[in-house]
Amino acid sequence: MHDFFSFVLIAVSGVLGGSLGFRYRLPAGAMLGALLAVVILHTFLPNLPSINPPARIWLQIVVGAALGSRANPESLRRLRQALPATGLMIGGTLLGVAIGTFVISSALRPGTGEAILSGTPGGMPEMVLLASALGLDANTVLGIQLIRVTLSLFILVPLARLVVARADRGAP
Amino acid sequence: MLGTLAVGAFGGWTAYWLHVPAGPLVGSLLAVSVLRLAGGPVATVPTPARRVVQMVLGMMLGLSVSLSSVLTGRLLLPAVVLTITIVVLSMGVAYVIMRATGWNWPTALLCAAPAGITEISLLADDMGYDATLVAAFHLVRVVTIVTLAPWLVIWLR
Repeated sequence: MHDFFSFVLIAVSGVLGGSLGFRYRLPAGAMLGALLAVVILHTFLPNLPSINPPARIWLQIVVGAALGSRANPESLRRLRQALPATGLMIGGTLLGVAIGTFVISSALRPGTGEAILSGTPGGMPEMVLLASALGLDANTVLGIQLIRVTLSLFILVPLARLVVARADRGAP
Repeated sequence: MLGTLAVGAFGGWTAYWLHVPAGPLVGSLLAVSVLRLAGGPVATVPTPARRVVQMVLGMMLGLSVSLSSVLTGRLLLPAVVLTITIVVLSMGVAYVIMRATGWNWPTALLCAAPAGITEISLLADDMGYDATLVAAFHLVRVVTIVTLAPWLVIWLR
């Protein structure tokens, strides 16, 4: 019975936090809002049950299927047409992984796994889920990814708007 | 939708039994992507369902993460240095893409920007650029990383 009420509490606070995070457009808002709500709940009720391993496996399967289902033949056709650009982007991403891992491991000296996943620009939910699945310190990965994604949006959105405004001004 | 999940479950459990690092995630991702690209009967997981999955993920992580260790000050400086480095690098990649393909600078920049798929695709759409192309680029980035990162972690650990 205790577990049932705990489950209801976790679900209600998670849905509430996730909805707020999404509504207020936090990066990966549904995940981040739910996470913050459950962390706050967990602070007040430290004896909440953890999620059992089979549920974690199923969650990974659903996340993988959701990501995979977004691939479509039209995207593949367009990427094939832009093969040099796709290759450059993948090369740049892998260089980003190497540099990110170097920066994080030099500054924080965490485990190698944590450094790779913290410094990798591969999606915050995915990197935190990978850390959890590989038995690494998800706190460090989440903290750095959270700051990285939030700051990136603060830098990139105005930058992109500036670039577009300049391009429009230069257009005939 | 159920068929998509069944394919994901098959790929995920197979990878798990084969001891692939983060097997359920990687196996499911690869199985569904391959079937979808081969023209198989794979439905796109709708946005509200993805949001529910993100919420469940947040709840699961919330039970194993502590707020004080996430928001600790020691992470701030390395994360800022990391962000600036990656943004500068992505601008370099965007410039090379622009020179190599003849695309305009905004499209190249949006394709190379290292932020969330959803946020950048919405931004591209909002600015009147090709959101499908931008989303496809970011999907390739995330799929490449999610597939390679577990192997890198195991290999270098």
